Amino acid sequence: MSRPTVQFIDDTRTAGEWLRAADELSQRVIHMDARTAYSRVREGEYEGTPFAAELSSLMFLAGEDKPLPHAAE
Amino acid sequence: MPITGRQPTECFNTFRDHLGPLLAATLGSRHAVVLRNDGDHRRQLTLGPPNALAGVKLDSSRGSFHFSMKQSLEVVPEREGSKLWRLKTREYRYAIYATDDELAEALLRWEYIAEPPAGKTWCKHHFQIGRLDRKAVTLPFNSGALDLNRLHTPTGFVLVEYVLRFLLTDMGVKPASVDWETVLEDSQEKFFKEFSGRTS
Repeated sequence: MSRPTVQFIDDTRTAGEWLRAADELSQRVIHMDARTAYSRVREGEYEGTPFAAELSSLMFLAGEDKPLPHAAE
Repeated sequence: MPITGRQPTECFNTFRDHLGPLLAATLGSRHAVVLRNDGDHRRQLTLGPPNALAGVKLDSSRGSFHFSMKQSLEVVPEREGSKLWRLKTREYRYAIYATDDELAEALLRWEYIAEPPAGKTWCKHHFQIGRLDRKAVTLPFNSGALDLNRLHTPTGFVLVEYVLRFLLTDMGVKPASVDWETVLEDSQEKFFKEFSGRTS
């Protein structure tokens, strides 16, 4: 007997469209473009916030989550 | 043994079919999961409506709070030349928020990041306590204090089953089914037997 489950909502977009979504999010919440915002998030700014988590998710889907070059000391 | 499939979609569907009943039995069927994907090899699962960055609102014996669950997954060839695909977790994040403020820190969060940003040497699997009203929660330590927000306390791989149990037992969320403990135990057992090379 199968158990009840939850609804799964599919949301398929191209990498470019996910990057656009990231830009819209970043502009709306902290008034900057996604790549600039993401670099700050990866440095620790906005750590622990829903915004940082959502931006990271969108950048992952956009394929923009490659390791950053090592920052200069 | 990880989740594998002859097509990427097969891997994602196996995971989806495992997760759906688990969430329904614990938190209830009313919370949807958004499956975001790039149409190729990446999926991102998020509990709650598409625009709810802080996740779903839960009621509990401690009052209401927000719970966010995110899993970033990708499929890779099982090995070079193989026709099989294997599911990998790139990141997971389970967080408890007091409100749905998009810039408020999570009170509690469990995270796994497969590739931390360059220069970050903390444990990939960790637990953190957030700041309250932008003030750090601290522990007296020797002549100073430990800022709990800055500690990446190691955890090991945290299953979603563990966090769901925490919500029901420690945070006082009412279980959505009477057999939730059995569902959690069965789900954990299945994970270790069928989806993972881990033993605990």
